[in-house]
Amino acid sequence: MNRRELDAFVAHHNLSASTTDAVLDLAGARPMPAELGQFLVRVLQLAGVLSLAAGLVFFIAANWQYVGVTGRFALIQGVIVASVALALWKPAPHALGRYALLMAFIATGALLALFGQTYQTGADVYELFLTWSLLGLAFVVAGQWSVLSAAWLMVFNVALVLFFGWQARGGWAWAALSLLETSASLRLLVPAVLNLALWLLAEFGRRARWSALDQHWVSSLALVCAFGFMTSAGLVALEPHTMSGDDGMALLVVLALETGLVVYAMRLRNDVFPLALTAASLIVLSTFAFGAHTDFDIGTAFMLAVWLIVTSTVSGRVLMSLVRAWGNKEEVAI
Amino acid sequence: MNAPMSVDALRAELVRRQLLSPSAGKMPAVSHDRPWFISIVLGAAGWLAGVFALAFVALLLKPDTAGGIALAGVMLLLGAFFLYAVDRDSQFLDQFALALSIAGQFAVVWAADRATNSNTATAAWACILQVAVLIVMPNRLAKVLAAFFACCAWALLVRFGWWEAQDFNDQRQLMLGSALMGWFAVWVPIIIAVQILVSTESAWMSSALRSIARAALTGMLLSLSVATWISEPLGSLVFWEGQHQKDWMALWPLLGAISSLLAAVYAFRLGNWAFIGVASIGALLHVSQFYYLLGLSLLLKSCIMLGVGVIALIAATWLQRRGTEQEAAT
Repeated sequence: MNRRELDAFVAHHNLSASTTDAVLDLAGARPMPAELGQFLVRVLQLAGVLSLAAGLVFFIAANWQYVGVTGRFALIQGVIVASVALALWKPAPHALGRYALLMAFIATGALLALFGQTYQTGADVYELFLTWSLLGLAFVVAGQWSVLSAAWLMVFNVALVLFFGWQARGGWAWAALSLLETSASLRLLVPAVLNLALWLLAEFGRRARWSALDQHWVSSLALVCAFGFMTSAGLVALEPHTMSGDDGMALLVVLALETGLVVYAMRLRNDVFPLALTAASLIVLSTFAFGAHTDFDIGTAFMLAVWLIVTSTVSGRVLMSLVRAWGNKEEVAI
Repeated sequence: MNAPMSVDALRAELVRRQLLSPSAGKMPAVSHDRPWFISIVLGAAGWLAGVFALAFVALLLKPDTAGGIALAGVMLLLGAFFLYAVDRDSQFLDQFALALSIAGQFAVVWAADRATNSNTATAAWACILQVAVLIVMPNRLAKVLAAFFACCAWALLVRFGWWEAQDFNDQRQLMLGSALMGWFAVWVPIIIAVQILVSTESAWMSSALRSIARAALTGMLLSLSVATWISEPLGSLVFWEGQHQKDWMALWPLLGAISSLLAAVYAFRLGNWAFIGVASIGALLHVSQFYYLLGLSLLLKSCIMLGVGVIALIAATWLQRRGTEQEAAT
C-alpha cells in the first residue's frame, strides 16, 4: 500500500492518530531505525565517493600551475591504481569494491581530459566521452552494480549527444558517418536505436538477474534516452522551411519505432512506462508540428491549449486504465 | 519495515486487534493511484496548456493595466476552482482546470510585477498566491505544484529581498557568512516543516488537514531536491562572462546538493522510491551547477568537494560502527 491508499484507508475508516500509527507500522510504511541507519550509511558512502571523484575532476579542470604535468598524471593514475587495487582486495559485490570501481570509472574520464588538456590532441569532446565509455566498460562489468551501469549509460549518452546532437565534425566516428549523406533528423535515429538496443539488453539482463542490470530504473533510463533522441529527431524533421524527403523518412521511422514499442508493451502487459513515454513524445511532436507550421495568433493559442488538454486527457485515461488492468507493481505513486 | 500488506489484510488485522469495528464497511478501490511518470506527463502538458491559455486570454482581452491583468487572472483561477469542485473523476476537467489555474497564476504574478515593478514584491505575491492555491484548490496535483512553486517563490523572495538584486546576473561580492545565512534563511524553515510533517504524519493523516499536509510535504520534498538549481536557472549558463570577484553565493548549489540528499532520506522514511530517484538527480544537477557557477575558483571548489567527501565517508563509517555496536548490544 502506498501513501495515497493509506490516506484513503484512514479517511474511510475515520481512524484516530494512535490507530493510524498502528496502520503505518502494520502496512510496513515506515522503516525501522536500523533500516534507516543502513540507508543513511549507503547515502553517505555514495555521496562521499562521488564528492571525492568530483573534487578530483575539479582539481584537474582548475589546471593549477603549482602542480606540474607529471604530478597531475601521477595523481590521477595513482587514484585509478589504488581504486583497482581496492576493488581486487574486496571485489564486487562488496560495497568497497563497487565504490572503488565507481571512483576508477570517474578517474578514467579525468585522465582522458587531462591528456587532451596537456597534449592538445585536437580531439573532439565527444571522442573523450566515447573513449571514456569504451575504457570504462571494464569497470562496469567488474562492478556488477546498477549505479555504475547508469553512470556508464550517462557518459555514453553524453558522447552520443555531442556527436549526433551537435554534429561534431572530426574524429574517426565522423569519418565513418560522413560516408552516409543523410539529414540531421535521420542521424539522430542512430543514437535512438543504440539506446533501444541497450534497453532491450537491460531488460534481458534484468530477467536473467544480472547484478549490473537488476534494477528496473536502469533499463528505464536507457528507454528515456532513446525517447529523447527519437523525439529530437522528430522535432528536427518537423522544423518548418527545411523539411526534406529524409525528414519525412525520419518521421516515419520515429512513428514506426514508437508503434513497435507500443505493440511490445501491449504484448508483455507488465509495464506502462514505455506507453507513457510514447504518449509524451507524440504530444510534444504534434504540438510542435501544429505550433511551428502556423502563424501564432489568438486562434493558434486557443487551439494549442485545447490540443494539449485533449491529448494529455486521452493519454491519461488510456494509461490509467492500463495501470488498473495490468497492476502497477513496479511503480510508486506520488 | 514490516512486510507490505494488502488493504483487506490490514483491515482484518485491525479488526483482530480491536482497533476497528468488524462492521466497518470495506474501503472502495482508490481511483487515483497515478504513477509518477503519468503525473509528470499530465502536469507538464497542463502547465504548457496554461501558458497558451494565458496567451489566448491576453490576446483576446488585451488587458493593459495591472488591475485588468489581475482581474483576468482571478477569473481564470475561479474558473479552475469551480471546474475542480464539480469534477467527478473526469480527467478532461482536471486537465482543463489545471491549465486555467496555471494561466491564472501567471496572470496574477504578471499583474504583481507590473503594479510593483519590484522583483522582491513580485516574489512575495507569488509566494502568497501559491500558499492560497495550496490551501484552496480541491485537487492534489494542483496542490503539489503550488507547494513546490511556493518554495521556489520563497527562495527568490529571500534572495531578492536580502540583496536587492535587480536580476539573476547582478554582480555581487557576497561574504561566506552572508551566503550561508541566506541559504539557511531560505531552506532551514522548509527542512523544519518537512521534519515536523514527517514526524507527525499519523496525527495529520487522521485529520481533515491530510490533503493539504500530504501535498505540502510532496511539494517541499520536490523543492528540497531541485529548487536551488531552479531558483537560479541562468546562473550556470554565464560561465563565459569574465568575473573575478569572489562570491560565496556559488556555494548555494553545493548546499542544494546536500538538501537533495536530505530529501532522499525523508523520501525513504515515506517509502517513496520515485522521490529518492528525483532527489538523486537533483543532487547531481546541483553539483554540475556548482562546477559552472562563477564566484569561486575551481581549485577552491575542488578542496571543498574533497572536504565534503571525507566528512561524508567519516560520518558513514561512524554510523556503521554505531549500528554494529547497537546490533551487538541487542
